[in-house]
Amino acid sequence: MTSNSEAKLTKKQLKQGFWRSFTTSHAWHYERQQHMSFAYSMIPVINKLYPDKKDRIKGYERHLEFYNCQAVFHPLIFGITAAMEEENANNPDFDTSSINAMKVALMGPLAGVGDSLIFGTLRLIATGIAASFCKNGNPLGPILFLLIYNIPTFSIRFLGVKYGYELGNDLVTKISNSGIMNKLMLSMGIVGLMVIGSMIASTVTMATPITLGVGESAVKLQDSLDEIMPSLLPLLTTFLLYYLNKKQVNILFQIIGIMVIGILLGAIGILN
Amino acid sequence: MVQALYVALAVFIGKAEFFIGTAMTGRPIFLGALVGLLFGDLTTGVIIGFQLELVFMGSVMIGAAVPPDMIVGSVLGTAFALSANTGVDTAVAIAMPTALLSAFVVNLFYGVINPLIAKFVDKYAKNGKYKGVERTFLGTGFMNYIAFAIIAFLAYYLGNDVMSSVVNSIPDWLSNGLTIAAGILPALGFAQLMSMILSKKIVVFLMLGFFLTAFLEISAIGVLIVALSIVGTLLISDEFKNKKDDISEGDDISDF
Repeated sequence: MTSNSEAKLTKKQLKQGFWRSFTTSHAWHYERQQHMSFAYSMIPVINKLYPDKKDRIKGYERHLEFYNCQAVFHPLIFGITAAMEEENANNPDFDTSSINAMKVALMGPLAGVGDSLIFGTLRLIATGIAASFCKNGNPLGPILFLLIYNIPTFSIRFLGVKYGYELGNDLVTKISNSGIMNKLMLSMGIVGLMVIGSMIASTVTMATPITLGVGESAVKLQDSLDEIMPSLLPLLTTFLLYYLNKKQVNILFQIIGIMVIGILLGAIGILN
Repeated sequence: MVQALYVALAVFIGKAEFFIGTAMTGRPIFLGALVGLLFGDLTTGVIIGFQLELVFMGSVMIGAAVPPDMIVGSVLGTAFALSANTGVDTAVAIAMPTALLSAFVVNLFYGVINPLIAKFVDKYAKNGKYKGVERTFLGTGFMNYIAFAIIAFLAYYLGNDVMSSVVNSIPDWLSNGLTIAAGILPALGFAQLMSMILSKKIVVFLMLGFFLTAFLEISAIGVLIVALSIVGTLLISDEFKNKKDDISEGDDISDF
């Protein structure tokens, strides 16, 4: 089964892969996206495992194929891939194409998880906490923002390489069977949505200067709206935009639309 | 001249976030503060940066969709606003169009230049020259960042005089309208985030977070603590439920 001189990765290659995986979207492009960065993180592994030049070349080319995933999960996929390459180097019966098949199978779901948990929820929590400092111009705000985002993601990266390599292919099946992923998604979804809700109320600002009636009996429309619910207009607007997003209306049109509508409604005195 | 160099430096640092693990140094909340620090008005920089952060809330590179270039946009927006000594509406008025323009250059790199360079990388790989792969990869990324730093440098250096006079001649109705738009734009960011995580099952939590702040004026940190308590409660109740299952079903519960 295995030859006498078994090819084995050491901590050195894993460490190199860990640091190299920080470059995920460096030199990104439409055609194969983050492929160069992935190959960059795999090069020390390939060089260590395959003494023969032909095998090495195949390895480089294997990892220069399309790759795209959320940056934070690059180390995890790297760890799993490294474990599979090790198996491939020692076991002549190993199906080499399964390495890229595994990458493709992982990058989609993990990108989805990463975009909503990391870019969506975690970044938003960091922004929300920084907000109260930033409003007063306190530089602690941006610092906190960076720390709150980067400390957890750094930990996920570190654990990703460690467990990815140790458990290899099994990791993914284990996680998806245990139901942890669902619980995590749901928990983060709840936290994320509550912070979004809070920030809609505190950061979207819309008010109308319209008054109803004249003279003594004039009522400010905004006061009436606030009595029904403070920040009612921001909430309704957010849901309108959510609806447009669901209908896949181009973001560019939405941005320009908001600009134009802001200027128009301001000019005719509906908003101020 | 010195300020233009600062602008270039800030854009480079912002763009280079892709080299350091997408560490969010490209977000306006950080870049505004950085430009403020370099321009000698940290407090205003932080305030403008945060407002731009709200405006660009939804500008996140998800999958293959390239959003407006908030890095070049927010650096130039903050820099012009600080040097012209004007407010947030100026920063937004400059940041948004520059971000849209710069996105074209981003697409030039992502769509044409980098894919062509990738062909050279393929050739190096085919010949087993892994050092060539590494160098070309690293060099290409930094070339991208430097190109944007140069563009921002030129835009600021050549545009500063023009810009200040343009900024000072913005009519009231326009700057008023842009302030209104800047107030609404964060909603677009939240809407985009919602379309990623919202489902009927958990929409009630969005409303809860909203009510806590709208009616009780609880800050985001307070809402976060309440949210964590709720999640904790749910997880504990889940554990109670599982224990019951354990007793009734006995074995065959997957462990980890």
